[in-house]
Amino acid sequence: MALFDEVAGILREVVGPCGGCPPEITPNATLEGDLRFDSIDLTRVGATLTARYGDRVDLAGHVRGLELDEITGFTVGQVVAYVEQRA
Amino acid sequence: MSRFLFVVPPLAGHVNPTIGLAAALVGRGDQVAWCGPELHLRPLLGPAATIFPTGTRLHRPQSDHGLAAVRSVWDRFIVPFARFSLPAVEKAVAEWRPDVVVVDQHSPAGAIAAHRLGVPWATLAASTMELGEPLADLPKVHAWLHGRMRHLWDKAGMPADEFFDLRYSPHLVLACTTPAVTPALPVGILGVGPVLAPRHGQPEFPFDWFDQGKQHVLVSVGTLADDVSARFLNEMVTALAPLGDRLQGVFVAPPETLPDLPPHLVARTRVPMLALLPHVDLVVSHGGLNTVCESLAHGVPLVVAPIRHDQPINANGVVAAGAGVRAGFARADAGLLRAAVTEVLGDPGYRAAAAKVRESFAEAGGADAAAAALVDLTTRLPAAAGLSRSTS
Repeated sequence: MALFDEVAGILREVVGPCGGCPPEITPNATLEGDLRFDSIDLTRVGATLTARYGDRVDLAGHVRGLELDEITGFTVGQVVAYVEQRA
Repeated sequence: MSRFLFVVPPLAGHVNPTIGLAAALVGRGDQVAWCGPELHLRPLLGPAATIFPTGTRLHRPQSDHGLAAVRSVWDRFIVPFARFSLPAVEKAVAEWRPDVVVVDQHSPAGAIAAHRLGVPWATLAASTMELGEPLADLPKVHAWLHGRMRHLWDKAGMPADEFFDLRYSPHLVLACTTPAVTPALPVGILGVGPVLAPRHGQPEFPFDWFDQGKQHVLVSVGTLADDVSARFLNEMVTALAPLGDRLQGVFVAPPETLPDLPPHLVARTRVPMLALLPHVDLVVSHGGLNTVCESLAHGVPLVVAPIRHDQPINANGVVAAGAGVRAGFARADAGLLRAAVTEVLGDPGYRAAAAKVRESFAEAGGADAAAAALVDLTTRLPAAAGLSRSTS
């Protein structure tokens, strides 16, 4: 799916090269747990998504409004679904 | 002469500031005691300290990060430990009759006990996790946190209409930092800077190992038994391995976890941190408030690789102060870490910025300022008559 690959590319750029640590970017990978996102990473990805898909896409704002368990469990697939819905 | 009771969790980073504070109070002629798990407190406080034991509960060591770590520290540690220890804390306050209870911000049992028994109390913030409400822009997480405190309050049988935020005493909140490194420190909280004092049972270190012609790097990222920590330490070893012509590195880690180190690197399970810092040019840390402030109090800049809790906040504070750089704990590889280390060691601006933070600490007053504020509290808010100390 084209959108998934685009979003995965943006995430890969933020996760960056590393000592073989983060797992592959799959639909079920969680941002916080699997990709070790912190709030700075989330803001960076959010800004990139907004720049590419328009102002209605505010990933960081969306995630910040969720319940604790929803935030810790937020997956790559949910990022794609959110972008799809808002773009 | 007044009595001060410290209610603390069994964590060295939270107990250490009370040691310096207690020494300052004792120096003024006051009496001090602690309430907490004696098994953990006794080695930190030494044989002479008065400890009212709460007993010990086993807590799983944490390997979480981010919000999952926030949830687990409250759900698996702060809340259950507060419920477990509350009867012992109330007994200690009722028996010893302190003039002021000094409550660690993560020991809400102290707040409940002091409120119920009508004893003046102060909050001591040994981390920056609860300063300036870092979770406020996550409204549902913020509501959840307040729900955890409310749960504690209700389970303790406290009157619903008297509920308050247990993390903040209405009388006095002391924080072991200053706005120079914690810009979000709210007005009304007394930032006294780090409270440093000689510690009990410090290990030896072979200081003559240091080559005075080289720079010295201390790598201390806590004692976490997870593979992400092991990965970070190994990347750090690879980062420093080719720099033997210019530096020596001390890793705070069990030597068997870092075998085959080159001669300019050494691993020690424990180090005498405060004795080492005057010899150190750079600290690589996960960003716990104690390590960050102890380093800056010695004018030593940092590379901070935060993992959880207040560490990202402290990392950003160090960067904003110009006293170091931030690195990704889970992601930075040897190349990035070597670049970070050589950047901070190579630019005297970082050391100059660290010295500025050290000045802010000196102005804030540390243990003496905190002790003075606590003594002032005894005159502002004398303990309720019903609890005044017996003269027997």
